[in-house]
Amino acid sequence: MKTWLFNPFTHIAGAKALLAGITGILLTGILCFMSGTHLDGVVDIHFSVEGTIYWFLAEGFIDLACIVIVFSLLGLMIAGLRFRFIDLLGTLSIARLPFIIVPIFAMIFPQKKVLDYFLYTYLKIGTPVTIGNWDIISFIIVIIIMLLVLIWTIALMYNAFRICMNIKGPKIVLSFIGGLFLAEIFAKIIFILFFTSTNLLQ
Amino acid sequence: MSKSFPLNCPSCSSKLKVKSLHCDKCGTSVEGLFDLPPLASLSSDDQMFVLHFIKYSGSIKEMAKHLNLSYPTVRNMLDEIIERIKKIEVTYNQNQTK
Repeated sequence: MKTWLFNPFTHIAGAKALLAGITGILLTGILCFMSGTHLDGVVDIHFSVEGTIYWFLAEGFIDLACIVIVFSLLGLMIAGLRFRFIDLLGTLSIARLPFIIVPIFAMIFPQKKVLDYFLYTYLKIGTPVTIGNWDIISFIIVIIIMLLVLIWTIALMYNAFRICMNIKGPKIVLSFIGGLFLAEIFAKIIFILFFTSTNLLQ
Repeated sequence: MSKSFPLNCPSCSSKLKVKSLHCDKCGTSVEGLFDLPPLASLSSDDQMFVLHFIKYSGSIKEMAKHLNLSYPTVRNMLDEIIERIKKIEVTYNQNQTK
């Protein structure tokens, strides 16, 4: 059970993993559009209904592309040509699957009212909103789910990278942490460039 | 009951050597002190892996299918066995030159 949750890559990698991963990213994109959940970063989750379905779908693929590009380059540096690109692509796309949980919970526990409350209270944007106990409880539930999903995703990405590179010790840990940081910056730059130069928002 | 081939001394964990060989057919015995060949020095699991690897013509893809494991997992297992064989070879060569 633990293996399937945190390291399914012992059994699945390559094209099969890629197919499952891409299907998951597409489904996540559709659910994100329905729930107003943005995955606008490698390990980022935000709530906003802004954007067309293309934007929501593109986010998942841009995230994956950024991670794969950064980790492939890192892999070439630390493991040379020993790893297969298709394995890295497939396993890292599977590692994004836990994100499908967030929009499902965001649909069960809508966050718009709480976010409008925060926007008005702290930034004086919008109109005054009053929230009840249930709104706070649902907000806490979604935050906890988000944290668990992020931890799960990072654990999966680490195992994907480790199994594809077959390098042990501090070298793999440090390169993973560095890679994740770089991929996040890379994704943010791409999102800024991409969404300011296209009309996917409208 | 099949007996597993002992590789290490149960008392001090050092590598065991072969002291005598015996022919079951004519009863001839050869005594001496022989090092185990590198492949025989691998654990039985590693030896099974090597056997399968040869049977599948060295195809990691076929091995992965047979073992129900992913390609990188099998490749990593192979890399680990290669590392173990390298270490065994170093000890074996050192013993041969003594």
